Amino acid sequence: MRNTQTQRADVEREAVQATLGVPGVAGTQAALADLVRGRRQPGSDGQTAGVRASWDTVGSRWSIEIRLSLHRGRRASDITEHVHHAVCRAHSAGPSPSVTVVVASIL
Amino acid sequence: MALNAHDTPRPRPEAGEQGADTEEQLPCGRWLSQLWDGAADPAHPSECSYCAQALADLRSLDWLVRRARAEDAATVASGGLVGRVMDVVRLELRPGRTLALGSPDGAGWIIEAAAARELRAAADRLPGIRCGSCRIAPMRAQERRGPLSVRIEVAVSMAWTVPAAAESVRRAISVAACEQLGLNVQEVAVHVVDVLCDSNGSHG
Repeated sequence: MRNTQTQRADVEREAVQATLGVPGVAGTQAALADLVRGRRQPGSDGQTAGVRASWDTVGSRWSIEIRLSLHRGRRASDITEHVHHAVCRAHSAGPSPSVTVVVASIL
Repeated sequence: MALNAHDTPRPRPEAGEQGADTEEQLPCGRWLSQLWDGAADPAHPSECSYCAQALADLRSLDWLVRRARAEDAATVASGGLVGRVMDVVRLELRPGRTLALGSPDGAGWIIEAAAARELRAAADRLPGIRCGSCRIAPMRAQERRGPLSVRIEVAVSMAWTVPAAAESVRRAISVAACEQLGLNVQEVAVHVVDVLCDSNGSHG
């Protein structure tokens, strides 16, 4: 699989959509430091802020990190599990990705 | 400013004079600002339907403005928007370590600052207890998804004994860590660092 910017953008977009569909997720959250330093990924349209996909050449699969904000009222660990499953299910490009879900804030 | 007599309305401001462009004159000949300034003398407005209506409208507007000001003040006083923005900025600048959420083979993590805020809030809900620093770390540094320990500093009111306060804080932290977050907290060290002088939790 070629690791093109377009593929990466597609993977990130799928991951965002899957994440936002999980109850209890308030949104994905770009790191403030990234925004301040202008570190937006090429091909990013701003709608995938908080999601970073990279091609793992050793494992030959996508590695996806998601930073998100949660609504208070549900157990955080349950939500991250649901996000993990939702992103894996939604992934259409090749083998199941490695997904890391980081709760950055609870609203 | 006292009201003038009905038949002797105040002259309209001259062009260029302050208020000339914004002054509104009522059908009875009075100026709106004049009516508002003279609201202490209710004799005339009660006889004049134009003035009475205008005065009622102004009082409604005045009430709305006062209420909006009070709400703004309450928002600022409670931390409000500025406080929430600063919380996010602090979180981003000093996020601390990432802590494992859920089972040891799970994929969930939480930033220490976000978790600590929830644990502090849980202990702060206890009457007469105010939390300070809260640090969360793996009990064994090499096990990033292993059990965690919490170290929290609190100030307690005189209504508590130190052991009772520590036990209540420990219980509140453990419940919040397990039920709200899903953190595997095995140890909670409570440090009572100050005494509050009344049961409302304020320093004397």
